[in-house]
Amino acid sequence: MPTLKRNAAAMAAAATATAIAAVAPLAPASAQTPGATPPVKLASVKPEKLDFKVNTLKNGLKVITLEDHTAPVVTVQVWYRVGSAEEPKGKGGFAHLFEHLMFKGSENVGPEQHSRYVEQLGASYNADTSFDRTRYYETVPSNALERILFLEADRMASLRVDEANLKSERDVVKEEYRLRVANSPYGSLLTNVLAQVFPEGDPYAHPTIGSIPDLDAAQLAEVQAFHKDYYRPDNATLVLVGDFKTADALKMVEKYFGRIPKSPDGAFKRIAPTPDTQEKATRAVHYDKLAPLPAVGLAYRLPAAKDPDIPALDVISQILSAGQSSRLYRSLVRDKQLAVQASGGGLGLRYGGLYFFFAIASPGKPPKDVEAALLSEVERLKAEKVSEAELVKAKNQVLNDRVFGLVSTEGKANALGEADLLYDDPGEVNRALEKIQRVTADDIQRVARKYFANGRENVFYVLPESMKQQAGEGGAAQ
Amino acid sequence: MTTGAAATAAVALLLPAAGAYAQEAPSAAALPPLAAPKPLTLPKVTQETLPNGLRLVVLENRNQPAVWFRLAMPAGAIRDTPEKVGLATMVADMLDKGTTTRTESQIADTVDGLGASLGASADDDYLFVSASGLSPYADTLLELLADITLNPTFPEAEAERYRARTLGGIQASLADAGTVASAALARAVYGAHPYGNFSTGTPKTVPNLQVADLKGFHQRYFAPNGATLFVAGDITAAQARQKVEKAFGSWGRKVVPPLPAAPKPPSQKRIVIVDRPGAAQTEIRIGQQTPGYADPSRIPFQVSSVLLGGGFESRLSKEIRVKRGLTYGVSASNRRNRDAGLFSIGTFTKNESTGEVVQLSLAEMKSLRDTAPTPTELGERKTLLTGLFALGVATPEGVLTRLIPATLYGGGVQDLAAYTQRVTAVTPEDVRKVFQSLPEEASTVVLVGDAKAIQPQVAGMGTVTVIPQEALDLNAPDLGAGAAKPATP
Repeated sequence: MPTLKRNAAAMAAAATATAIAAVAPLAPASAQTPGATPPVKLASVKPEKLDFKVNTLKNGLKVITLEDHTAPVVTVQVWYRVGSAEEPKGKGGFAHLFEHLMFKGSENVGPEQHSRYVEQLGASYNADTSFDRTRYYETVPSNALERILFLEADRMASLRVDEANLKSERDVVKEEYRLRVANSPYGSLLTNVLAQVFPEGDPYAHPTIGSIPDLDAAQLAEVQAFHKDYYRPDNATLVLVGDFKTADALKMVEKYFGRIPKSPDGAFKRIAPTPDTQEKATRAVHYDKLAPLPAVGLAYRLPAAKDPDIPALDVISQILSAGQSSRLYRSLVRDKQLAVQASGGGLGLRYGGLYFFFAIASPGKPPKDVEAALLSEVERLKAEKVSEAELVKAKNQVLNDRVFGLVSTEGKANALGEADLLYDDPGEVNRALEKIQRVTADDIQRVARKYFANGRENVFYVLPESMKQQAGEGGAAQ
Repeated sequence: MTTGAAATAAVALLLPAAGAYAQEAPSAAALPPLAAPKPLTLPKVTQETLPNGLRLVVLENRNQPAVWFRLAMPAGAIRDTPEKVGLATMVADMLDKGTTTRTESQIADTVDGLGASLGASADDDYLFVSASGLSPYADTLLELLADITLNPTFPEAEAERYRARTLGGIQASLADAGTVASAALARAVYGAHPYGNFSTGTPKTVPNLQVADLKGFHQRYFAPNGATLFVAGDITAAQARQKVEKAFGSWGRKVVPPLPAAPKPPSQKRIVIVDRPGAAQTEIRIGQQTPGYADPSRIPFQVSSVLLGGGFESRLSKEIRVKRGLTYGVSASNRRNRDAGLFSIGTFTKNESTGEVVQLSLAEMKSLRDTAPTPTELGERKTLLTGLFALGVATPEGVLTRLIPATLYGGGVQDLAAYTQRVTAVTPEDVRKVFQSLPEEASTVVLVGDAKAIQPQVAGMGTVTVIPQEALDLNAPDLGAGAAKPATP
């Protein structure tokens, strides 16, 4: 089935109780001609606030609940504050491998039984690992809430893994690595860009998927230690959204999670982020035997996701990439035909982030021309204020994405969990939209000048292997 | 923080859409009981036909200030002739590139200014024109939708851009082994029928797609009679009727050419290797043709494909991933178009285990031909499906996803109401009969990877044809093998 097109998603945009001030229409003074573009006006829709509740158990488990009775379903998510950012050198991919092992059994649940119990209910479920967190989630018919809480609590409390399971799951993860990295065009792109932007030893300098040698080095004893060190109620947030009564749900949560002991000292080993001191631009060229066309990008280091400058950067992403009137699409793809795709966007994490401008060159177009076009878009953001029409358009896109993104229980749970992770406060879901609405053209210019200052760019090329012979000394691409 | 078009940072346990199975009964002692299931209420759906033949289906949902519109016309890739493969897809893409009263820029500025979405796409049978946005914009969205459907101008400059961009895009798609595998399987199984097309086109056909072709396609196949407009969200049936009449009332009926005949399945088992020297992994597809959507076998086939390869607990997942760690993802599916369907297994594995994974897949199908599943195993697969159905109809988009094929191919909203009972009625013997109607002799196996490494592992399994990827012709029923060197035994 074809899916509806969506603009680039905005996370955690939220309703605000205050009326959104309408921006004066920007119509030209003359009468409208049929077919002319109508003036862009700020949308008057007032999305509802998410009326969630937060309770914390004695053992430190943070529980976020939101009732939603529109359908008899419930989404359960457990967000553990551990991810690849906690992996020291030589242990790349461990947190993700561990995530796979969490399905191998716990005290009251046999190996593979978690999946079996969940699937026979009729469930949409999975788990995923990123830099800052690992999360486990299920959406099930609402009469199964208690059973899901039992299952999640059991594997938070205990894990049963043996050598055979470790070996076979390691093999599965290596197949995943091959799928995403080794056998995929541009598969190593993220690995290379992270290493280029973040100094060695930074928690974000390596990708979550890890590497095959590091995966091979993982030991069973380390798996048990990892569970004990990080999979504790005071290092986790439980999010419940759906068709339940809060009081009943909290009783169930207490019944199954309450008995789990908190960590001995509440101190979870973290790797300190490195300070952002980049002043000199870097440039890297990689060859990829699966890349059909050159890819060109500029990456910039950003502050943490909760930094007050981030909303302005979110608006920049809309202006650059959202929809067919977006700057990068219009300029690089349509008008100059330099690229088959072009976008700009950010990766926001707890301790820092990454902003990138990226394009895949059209056949026959030199990568250096694509680089020049991307740089000129960066310069444009610094040199000129964005137009009022672009600003209002971006805000309307964010509002639209919020309304559509929060239709499902999964969407609501994702927004709450993400806000809790990045801001330590799920209440951010109800403030984020207003922050976007308040961004001005001055903010955007200031933020662009600050984070996209000359010397902060990290230029990268990923070139088809066939271009290697054409490259001059030092690998500089034409 | 907004995530832009970056690669997603998260890596997951499962590929989306997987399968499952069970061996012994779970120890029920520790598991808390299930509460009584809540009744499932399907949303109200109204249907009527306008005087010009346009069918209007409305699904009211006032939970959020959002509306969705989706127009379906029987103008999908099935309408493409062999020389013009890619035409339906191009027509769809070009609709919003200019109308009699708006340029591409004006359309883009208008849509983006509202924060809304507008677009079109073609699948095998249908061409869809879609719009969605906040409900105060319903009139504007419908007017835009009608404008690009009724009045596109297909400017030459835009067509030129599309061809150039698409050729680059095809090159990029075919760099992905999984895409190549799925495309090659479809062609091999459907033979010369358009259902086997790589519907974006090929490097040979795309340069030949001219504005005259686009206009001809639009003139011949775009009509209100035979078309269905689905409207969902914050709008009543009466409001929808009034707005749709205003936007589409002037669209005149026409005689639309008939569709081509149904495809004939290929008669023997064959194994095709698309050679990518140096590949680290092999993409594997095994498939054969089935009846189309409206055939009563659809539900038993769906249950059977979930048992074989749906979710983490399926036969294939258990044997290939869980027990042996040979893959990160394996699944089975029966994708049914109007006139035929494709039952297939899809997976991937490192070079050395390619032969083993193919053998295991074929062995599971044979096992299900020989022995019906137990009622316990089948029961759990059925509750997976009925439970997923309940989850699926929780949102307007989820309902549309099921309502649209049911309306276009089947009995409409009654199919949704009857779904749970039809799934529950499938018996273990029904499943065995399904697999007996999918004999190994009728299978096609496609392997995309390093032929040097994988050919020896499958040489004993049947006739093997090796085609270097640069010689692969997705438009040819033999995939270009005629031009390639024969496999050395």
